[in-house]
Parts: sequence; structure tokens; C-alpha cells
Amino acid sequence: MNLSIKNKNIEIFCGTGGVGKTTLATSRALYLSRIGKQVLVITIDPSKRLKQVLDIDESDIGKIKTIDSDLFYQRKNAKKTSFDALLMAPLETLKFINQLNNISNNMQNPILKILMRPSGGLNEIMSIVELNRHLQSNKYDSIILDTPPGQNFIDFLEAGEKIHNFFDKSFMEIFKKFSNQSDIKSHGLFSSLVSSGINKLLSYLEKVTGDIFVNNFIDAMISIYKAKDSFLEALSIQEQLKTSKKCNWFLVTSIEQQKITEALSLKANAKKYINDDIHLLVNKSLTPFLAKWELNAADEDQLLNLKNILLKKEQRFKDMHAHGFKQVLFFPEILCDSPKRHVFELNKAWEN
Amino acid sequence: MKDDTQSCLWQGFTHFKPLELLDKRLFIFTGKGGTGKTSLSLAWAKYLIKKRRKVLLNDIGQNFDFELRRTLNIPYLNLDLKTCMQDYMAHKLGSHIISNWIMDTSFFKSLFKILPSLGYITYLGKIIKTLQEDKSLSVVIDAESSGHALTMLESPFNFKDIFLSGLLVEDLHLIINYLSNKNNTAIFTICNPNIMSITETQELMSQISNLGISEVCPIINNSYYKTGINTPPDFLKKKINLEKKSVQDTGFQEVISLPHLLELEDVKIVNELTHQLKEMMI
Repeated sequence: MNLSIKNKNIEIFCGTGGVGKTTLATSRALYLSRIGKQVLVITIDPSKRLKQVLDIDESDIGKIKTIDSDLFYQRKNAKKTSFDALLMAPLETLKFINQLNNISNNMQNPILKILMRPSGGLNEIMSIVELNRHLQSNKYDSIILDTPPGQNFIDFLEAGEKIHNFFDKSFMEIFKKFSNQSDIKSHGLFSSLVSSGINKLLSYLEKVTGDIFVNNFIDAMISIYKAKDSFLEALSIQEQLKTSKKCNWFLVTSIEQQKITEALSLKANAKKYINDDIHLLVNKSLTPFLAKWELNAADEDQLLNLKNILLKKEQRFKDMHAHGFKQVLFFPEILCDSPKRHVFELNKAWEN
Repeated sequence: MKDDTQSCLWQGFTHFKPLELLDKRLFIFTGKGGTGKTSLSLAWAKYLIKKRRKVLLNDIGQNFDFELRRTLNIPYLNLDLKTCMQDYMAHKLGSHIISNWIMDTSFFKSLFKILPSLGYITYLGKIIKTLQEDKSLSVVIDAESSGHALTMLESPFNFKDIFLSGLLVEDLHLIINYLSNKNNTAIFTICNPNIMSITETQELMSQISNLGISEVCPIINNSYYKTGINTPPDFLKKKINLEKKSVQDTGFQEVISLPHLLELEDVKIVNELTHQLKEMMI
């Protein structure tokens, strides 16, 4: 392994599914906390493996939890450290946005309530706001982001653009006009939308969706529009992600999966959002084991074939330096069943 | 609490017979990331084709490996999100002109981008409509991994609660009924034999069954234990023991169990999996 990688304000772990993004991100958090850094790790994926790695209760989702190093190792002379962890919950982020913008009446809106459920589909968008919030607090040396797999990672990267488009379009301007007249009730509001073709659009919508929906929908839009600034402020994040001074990128892959093409295409699709400081992390490497495994002349063909294939799988990743990564780092397969032990063992690999 | 959900969850599976799977027409593959969803959905499609079934594959807009699918000769149900939604609205409003106008407004365009779940119901709706129009057809969906697959499966339920009334709700009920009907739909939840993967899949399964979708078929894939290595080296022995322990400790009861394949090429992997599925289904 090469020189240890200097921590940055933002550190992003991305990659295809099941390669160990969450475990490696957590091991990075543990490692940085051990060298004295203040660290927050945020997980965006609604499947939330971090919960399992860190023993976080369902009720703590959406809140910052401090994780003590005791969870991973308990040794007599070991220095105790801790880091913070957050499992994204869109509803909690909405509460925060409401507070900032003095919005109080939208928590009962059925549309927002449903969309803010853990699997409501808004994790990627809301995580940009959450990231901005904790960067602004200046509490952390590094914020580590465990991103969702594959295409959903691109959704995260595009979140800023989507937010921008959403607020930038003329439709929202119309809502703005009405949202300033706070005394108008939703039913009245709908019937008073008479100009500019918007009423026509909504009446078509109403035909398909029913009128209750249209009214709830207008209310939801207005309340989101009131919080416009919180969303748009988060857009500055996009710029920071592109600066190598501010952000480290870690593309995680795994020997077990051999998804080299997928990893490279993820990197290519993300190109315009990221900077050149992208490191390739190859997880679950069997090289240390294979190096020790000596075959006897008497061994069967099956074992020869097995060793051959396992070696080839490793080699494919060793050839990846050529693909424009700053470094290619190998993390060994950890042969134990406790996720905490995995984090601890992997944290040692960051030292070198 | 965990034990409770598990034990009532498993009751549903004890009478599960692999052969009954063949009576269904919509097969959805999900599970933890990287456990082999794509390979397995391709293998399942291939297996059905070999059984002389008319099969189409779809990956809910993820646009995976066209090459591999072509090499394997698996036909694809090509769905464009915008066209699907336009057609749908046109059908509902009785006019293509109005529908195109609505879908072209910047508002709708950004709404679709910001709410991924709208895309999910559009895809599901179109797939189910296609199945209902052609009774001889089966569709295999290579879906996203657990969290996002759940967002997809929840989307018709969520939007039913959002819309409450109107023409859309009837159609959402159609989707929900199709997904919940054992005779139509089976969801394959795939995991690898390790604790993280199994736990995620167990959680996913109980969330799916909470939605009222009962036909969930758990698969363990990539197990070295099943590879059948006669005298494995120590590190693999350890790995195999960990696999067995993980399955035991979690009480996981898979319906189908597949080996880690000693192959490097995707086409060979899919063909071998197809073969394994065939053996298993007899």
C-alpha cells in the first residue's frame, strides 16, 4: 500500500452494490478518529447497513449518534476515541429545514408525509441539504459519505441540478405569487388559480388524480418553495465536490464481484461532478491468503484451477492503475462474521 | 421483536415448492447489492425460454449490460419513461395532444426527476399492462438492490395514499393486486451467505411481506459451501465455516441455494446458473 491518504472536508465512498462501501467508510471514520480528527459519517442508502455495523436503534435514525471506539476494540492501553454517525432520514431533514425557514404547518401534509418515509425516494435529494448543514457547523474535520449503489449514486450527484431546475422554472414562480398570500386556504387557492394556463394544467391533473390530491399538492409545493433557500444554498456543495482541496473520492470495488466495467462506467458517468483525487479501493482481496497457499504436486486439478482463477481475479484489479486513479488500494478479506471486527481490521489498513 | 417477525415470516415459506414458480408470470429479482441479481435474472429468463415460454426482460431503467443480454439472446422489454407516461396520460385524458403538452411542461419534467417513485409506478404499470394484454407473456425484472427495490414496491401503495381518489387510484390498485397475487408474481430476494447480506435480505423480506406481497422466494447465491471443493485450503475452509455459521445463526431458510462458480466470464456464469436452476426445478 502507498502513502496514507490525507483527510479532506468531504470524503465520498461510492461504488456498485455490496462491495463494502459502508464497512470501508466506517473503517475510515474509525481510523481518522484515532489520529485525532473530528469525524461524521453519513449513510444515504435506505437499506442502512450502517445501523447493523454500529448497533444503531431504529429510533435513532435521523439523529447524530456518537460511536465510541470501544464498540470495535477494547484493549488495555488503547486510546479511546469516538466519531459521529448519522443515518439519513428525510423527515428529520425536513424538520430541520422547516425550523430554519419558520415553516410549521406542513408536517400534516399527506404528500410530504408519505414522500419523507424512509423508502419514499427522497434520500438522495435531502442528503445534499444534510451534508451542507454539517459542513456549515464547522464541527468536523471530515464528513464521510456512504452513498447508495450504482445509478442511485448518480442521482445523489445530480441532486443539486434537479433542485435547481425544480425551483428555477416558471411553474414555481406562480406558486410564489400565491404563497405570499398566506391567508388563502388551499381550496380557495386552487379556485383562484385562473391565469396563465396553470389552471388548465391543474384541471387536467385533477381529472386523473382527484381534487384532494391537487389541493394537497399545491400546499406541499408552497411549503417546499418557502424553504427554497435551504435547498439552493446546498447547491454550493456541488462546487466543493469538484475541488480536490475539499473532497476525496473513493470508488469501492470488490475482488469477489469482479464488476470492473461497472466501476469504470460509474467513474465515467460521475466525471463532471468529481475531481481528479479519485482512489480505487479494492475490497476483499485474497492476495495475502493466496501468497501463503502452496499447492502440492499431488493436488487435484480442481485445486489448481481454483487457485488459478482466484489469482486471475486479483490480477484484474492490479492492472487498474492505468485507468486514471490516483491510487489503487487493496483491503484484505476479513475472515470473521462480526461486522464490527471487519471495521476494526480494515481501519488498520488505512494506516500504511 | 426480531424473532417474532422472522418466525411468522418463515411460516409463509415452508410450503414453498420451486415448481409452483413456473405458474407465475412476473418475476422480480432483488436483494443485497452485488449478490448476483443480474446474472440470476438473466439465468432465470434463459431457463424460462428453454421451457418454451415467451419471456421479456426489463431492468427498470438501469440499462445494464446490453451486450451480455444480446449474446445470451434474451429479448428485452424496452420502456422509455417519458413515452410510457405520455401514453398513460393520453389514455386517461382521451387525448395525445393534451398529454404531450402536460408532459412537456418544465414542471412535470422536473417533478419526474425529483420524485423517482413516479418513475417506478410508471414502469410497473406499463409492465403489468403488457402482461395483461398478452396472456402468453412472462416478464423478468432485474430490479435494484434492497432499499431502492423497496422504494419501487412501495410506490404504488404510497401514491394510492397520496392520490386518495381519481382515475389513478384504480390503476394503482391494479398494480398492487397484480404484485400481491401469488398466481401472478414472485419476488426473488437474493443474498450471499454472510451475516450482513442475510440480515439485509431478511429485513427486506419482512418489509415486502408487510406490504401484503406474500410470494417471496429467498435465494442464497455464491456459496463456496455449494461449490464442492474436496480439500479446500485453510482460508477457504474458514470461509465455508463462516458461511454455514451465518446461515445457522440467522435461521435463514432459502428455497434455492447456488454455488460460487469457478468461472471468470459472464456468459459462462449465466449459462452455468441456468443449468443449476434447471437441475433444481426438477
